Amino acid sequence: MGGLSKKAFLTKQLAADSNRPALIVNSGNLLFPADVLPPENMAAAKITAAGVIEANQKMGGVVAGVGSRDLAAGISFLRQYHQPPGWSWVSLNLVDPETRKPLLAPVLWRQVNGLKVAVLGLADHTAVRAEAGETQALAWRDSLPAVLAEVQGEADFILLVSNYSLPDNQDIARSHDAIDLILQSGHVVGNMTPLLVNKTLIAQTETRGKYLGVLDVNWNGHGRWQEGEPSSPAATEGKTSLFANRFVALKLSVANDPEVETVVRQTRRQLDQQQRGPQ
Amino acid sequence: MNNTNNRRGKNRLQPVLAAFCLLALLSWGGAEAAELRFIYANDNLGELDGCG
Repeated sequence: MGGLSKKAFLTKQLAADSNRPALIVNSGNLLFPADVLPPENMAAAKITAAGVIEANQKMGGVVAGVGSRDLAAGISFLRQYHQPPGWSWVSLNLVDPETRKPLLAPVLWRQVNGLKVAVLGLADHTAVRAEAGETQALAWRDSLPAVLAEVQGEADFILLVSNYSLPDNQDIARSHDAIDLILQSGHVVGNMTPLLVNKTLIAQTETRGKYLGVLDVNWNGHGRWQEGEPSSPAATEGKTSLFANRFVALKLSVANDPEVETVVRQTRRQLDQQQRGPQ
Repeated sequence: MNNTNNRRGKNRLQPVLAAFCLLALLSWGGAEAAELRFIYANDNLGELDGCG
């Protein structure tokens, strides 16, 4: 059975550490293989996407950023599955072209081990297609500063899920040192060990569900990052926050999670029925 | 006489105050530190079966 059930098995194991509460994050391009899908493939792609969302919810995921590929079935499809607090799509720069109001959640707040974590989302405005005037993607320079100004006084930790390229995210990190972590999507970077830019770590995993990224943090407040084992005694000294990152391969030998395996099987059955057509 | 007593009282209080300040500083620093884990992925691209 599929990679999603292996991802679920590992994710549940990694999230079960009671000393280190976890936030499970998809940073974008979760649902579709391309920005534009042939009309004849759209129905099957939507069935698969619904299964992917349900599987990610079952493994504890609550939030995803929006990549340009997530918009292949239109913003209305995403809004259909935007059901906080169970599942939230975050994007602060996808707005209604008329009202300029966000079409999804600009920020998601989560309490993690006593910390108020603000999750902000940015879609790459140069990659988003303006579909029949239903969506407008604002540039990050025009949309991010106002939202950051609102959250930075309240948040203990600011995470940005971004579909922009690495050079853009480096620009963002240099311009806004309130952001503690950027998790990227898109632009086929592969597993990228956290890169420190200004006061921000930037990281990304390989595509197609082949790896999970695991970033362990000992958080001492907004300031300096240093690579090091978060549970080491040095972690309690000074105002430096420690991080340790690893990428876990979803090998064939990894066990399947029965709950998500059931979701994948149901999705496959629906796809078979859809391909057979009406009886 | 009274002045001497006051000075003695203050001297006795000083170690207590110092210990209190130290404890307050330690607990303030400790309360802010927190362990957390981000489990992250991107670009699943609608895969049900992708594996490494």
